[in-house]
Amino acid sequence: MMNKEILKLENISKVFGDGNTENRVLSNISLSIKRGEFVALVGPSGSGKSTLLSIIGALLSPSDGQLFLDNQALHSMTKKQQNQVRAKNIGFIFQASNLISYLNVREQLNLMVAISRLDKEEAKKRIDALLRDLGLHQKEHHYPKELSGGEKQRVAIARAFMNNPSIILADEPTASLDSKRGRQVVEMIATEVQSRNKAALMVTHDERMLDLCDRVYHIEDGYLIERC
Amino acid sequence: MILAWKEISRNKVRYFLISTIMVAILFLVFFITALSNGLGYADSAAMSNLKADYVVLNKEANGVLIKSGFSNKDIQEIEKKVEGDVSSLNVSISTLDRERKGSVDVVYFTVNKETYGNPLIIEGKDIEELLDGEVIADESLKKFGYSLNEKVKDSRTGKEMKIAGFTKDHVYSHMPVIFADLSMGFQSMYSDTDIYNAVLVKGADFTIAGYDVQTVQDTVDSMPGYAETQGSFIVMKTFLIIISVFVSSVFFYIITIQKVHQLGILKALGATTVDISKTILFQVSALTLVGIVVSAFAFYGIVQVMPEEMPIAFSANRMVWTGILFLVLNMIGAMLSVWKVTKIDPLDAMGRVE
Ligand SMILES: Nc1ncnc2c1ncn2[C@@H]1O[C@H](COP(=O)(O)OP(=O)(O)OP(=O)(O)O)[C@@H](O)[C@H]1O
Ligand SMILES: [Mg+2]
Repeated sequence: MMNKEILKLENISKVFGDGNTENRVLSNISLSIKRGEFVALVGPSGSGKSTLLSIIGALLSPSDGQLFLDNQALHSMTKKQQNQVRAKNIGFIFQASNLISYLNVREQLNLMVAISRLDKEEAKKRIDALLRDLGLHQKEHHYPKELSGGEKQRVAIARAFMNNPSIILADEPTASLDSKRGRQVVEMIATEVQSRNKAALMVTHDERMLDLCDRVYHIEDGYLIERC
Repeated sequence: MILAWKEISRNKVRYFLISTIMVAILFLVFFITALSNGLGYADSAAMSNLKADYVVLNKEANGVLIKSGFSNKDIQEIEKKVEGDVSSLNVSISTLDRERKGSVDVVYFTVNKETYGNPLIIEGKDIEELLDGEVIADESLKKFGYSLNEKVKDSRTGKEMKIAGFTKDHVYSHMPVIFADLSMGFQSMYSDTDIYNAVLVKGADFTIAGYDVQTVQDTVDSMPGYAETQGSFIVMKTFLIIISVFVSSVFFYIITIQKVHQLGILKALGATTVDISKTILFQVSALTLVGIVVSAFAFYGIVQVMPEEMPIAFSANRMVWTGILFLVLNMIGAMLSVWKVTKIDPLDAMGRVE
């Protein structure tokens, strides 16, 4: 169970543009992530990190290659099925926390009940647990504008875990935070991934976070190398 | 739906403003509807309620009843050619005189009491039961202080008559109608001989060579000024509704555009276009319903305190239909926003700072 492969990419490529202005962003990328693993993805700006994360998150279709999440073939799904997968199996943490401005903290999490069609009782328990784990229980009635950047990002982490996803995808979750708070946030993601036995893939610019991750992939000019 | 509701309650001012615009415009629509009803009623209620299926006029009248004229000989000729119940009709405007109480303008509808049929009587005798020198009057005459069995005098001819019954909804050009039998002789009020404006026929559709035959509704529509008045009101109402639907559709469209990024996040999280569209449609219908209810109550309140002379006819039925039409049009207008939602790419949520 522990070593079960959750995500598997085989020869994924992505080309933007049409014939005459072809821009090859990802070339033959293969990787796999197992349950309980926290994997980092680093690389220079424009190297295709967000593009790769979008493909894994079923927001973007690969030009070529195969990709499996929980043994489901994401690359051959319809838009509607991909939507379903995002709602049920994926937890997103965005660069800006991207909370809904007119919902308070508890409502942000409750929103996932409707989107992911969760069981209400179970969801309530999970909300209470996440608020406690992430130190947000005193802020549950606050609105985003009443929260600090770090607190907002913690709410975003909680939201990502709400649908009990197989994998967490985070695109520079610490970009808008100072390094101390950034590290706290990454620590929290690591803790949640471990304690809930999830997989996570995090894009980051900050080399100082890498010691918190189990493995690090480096991407440059569209090619992926694993660093040890 | 929490999403829809929370958004409204956290952005009260903007949604209050759009509701206010809707209320104001709907109020005006209701007002104009009632005014056109009321004016239409005062102009033509007696004509609409004629006990007839078809009206025979002469060719020169071009469908306008008061321009048509028949002699006794014409009437006999028409009666011979027509099957079913037939009554001639003369419309004459005159004045009632009563000592020390001032005068009232009235319209005499002179008909054949045996064949005309019975208009709705709310008090007193039916037309058929009238004796010589008796008439039936519209209840609006009561406002001038007249009552059942009262003797009144026509100021033009000096003839005396007794109000033997009251009918309702018989006003013509803002004047109460008095039904008189041929025996009263008002058909020769303005000439030496008997003149009739029309022949009223109950029965199936028919034609007579040399005469115009038209329905009662056509006769109402061709009353001088009637179609013009009602037409202007319809144009006003149509434009008001179009303006209002346009304003609220654009309002929601702009709000949707403002929310593109946020809606992209919702889509990235797995919300479907249908989920999001439902939220928007819920908001549009909720605000529209609030607008309809508030303006309907406001209008109802205003009607209660308005002076009685205002030609306002409050029709709950028409208000409900106006409201339904408004709601449906707003929903159609909301499709503009829904279309925008279908275009939103969940990829928007990635790698962008708010
Ligand atoms: N929708 C698109 N259409 C065309 N080109 C695109 C599109 N999205 C990304 N690209 C290109 O793909 C390349 C990789 O972009 P991507 O956003 O994945 O980089 P990144 O590694 O996330 O960079 P950063 O660290 O700055 O966020 C860039 O050259 C970009 O111009
Ligand atoms: Mg990026």
